[in-house]
Amino acid sequence: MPTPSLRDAWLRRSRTATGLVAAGSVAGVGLFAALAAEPHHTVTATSSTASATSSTTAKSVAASGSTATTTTTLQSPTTTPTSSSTSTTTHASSGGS
Amino acid sequence: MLATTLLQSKVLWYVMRASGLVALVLLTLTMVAGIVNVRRFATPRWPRAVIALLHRNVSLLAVVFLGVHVVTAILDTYVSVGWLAAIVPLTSHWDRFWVGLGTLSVDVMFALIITSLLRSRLSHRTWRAVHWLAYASWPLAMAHGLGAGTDTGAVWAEAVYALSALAVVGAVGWRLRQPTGRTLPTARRPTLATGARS
Repeated sequence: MPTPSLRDAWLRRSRTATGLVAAGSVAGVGLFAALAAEPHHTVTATSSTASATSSTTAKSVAASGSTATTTTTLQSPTTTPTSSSTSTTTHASSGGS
Repeated sequence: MLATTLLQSKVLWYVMRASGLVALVLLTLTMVAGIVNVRRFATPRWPRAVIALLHRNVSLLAVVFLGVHVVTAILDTYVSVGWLAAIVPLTSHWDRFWVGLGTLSVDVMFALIITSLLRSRLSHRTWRAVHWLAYASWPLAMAHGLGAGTDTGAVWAEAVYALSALAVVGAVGWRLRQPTGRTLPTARRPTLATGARS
């Protein structure tokens, strides 16, 4: 049987922990809402394009065997996904994301 | 005026999505705390009574955020869910199946909460039988999030789902590895003021 002081300490600890979880949850709603408001599909489009490009790069390197080809090909992700990311932004901001 | 502005803006839509994810995280924490507590996990800093209280408090917090999620989903005008769909599964106007899984999860959670609040009036066997439903509530909520969640596919949302799954699977695995028969009879279990037994 716990002593009253030990019981009080346990209650305080559980309240503190609950308070921290509650504060974290409220912060989490803010964070997730901010992330949800961003057009996340842009990231997906960029990464998929980047991976597609890197596989192209690998093939180019294998074919030519030169590092110059690698550098040139890797620059394409910064320009290629522009059109796809713009269209996704419109979709996400309309609420469907 | 403020209500109209809220309804017309996208705030409700974003809060609905965010509160759903937070409710899933809180449900995960509740599950993990319940699972480790039932196997008498304790440390000097985290005795069983504290874990039991945390389990109860976090589950009530999960209900609060679940309430926010449901209310904002109903009020938001982008998708038509409907009040009935918050209680009766498979009646949503939008994404009937996946929203229905969420409704089922909510129903199970409310059964758990109500029976836990009335625990002193129920037999331990009845309470325990209903509490086993918690193992159905979490996967239903997870499936609802993955199927109906419009953030599924985003790296951050996938990370939340993956970490939640890892936590619950880890806790269940840990529980299964523990030798059976270690739980104490109900009468001998430590209690702390509010009936926080497990």
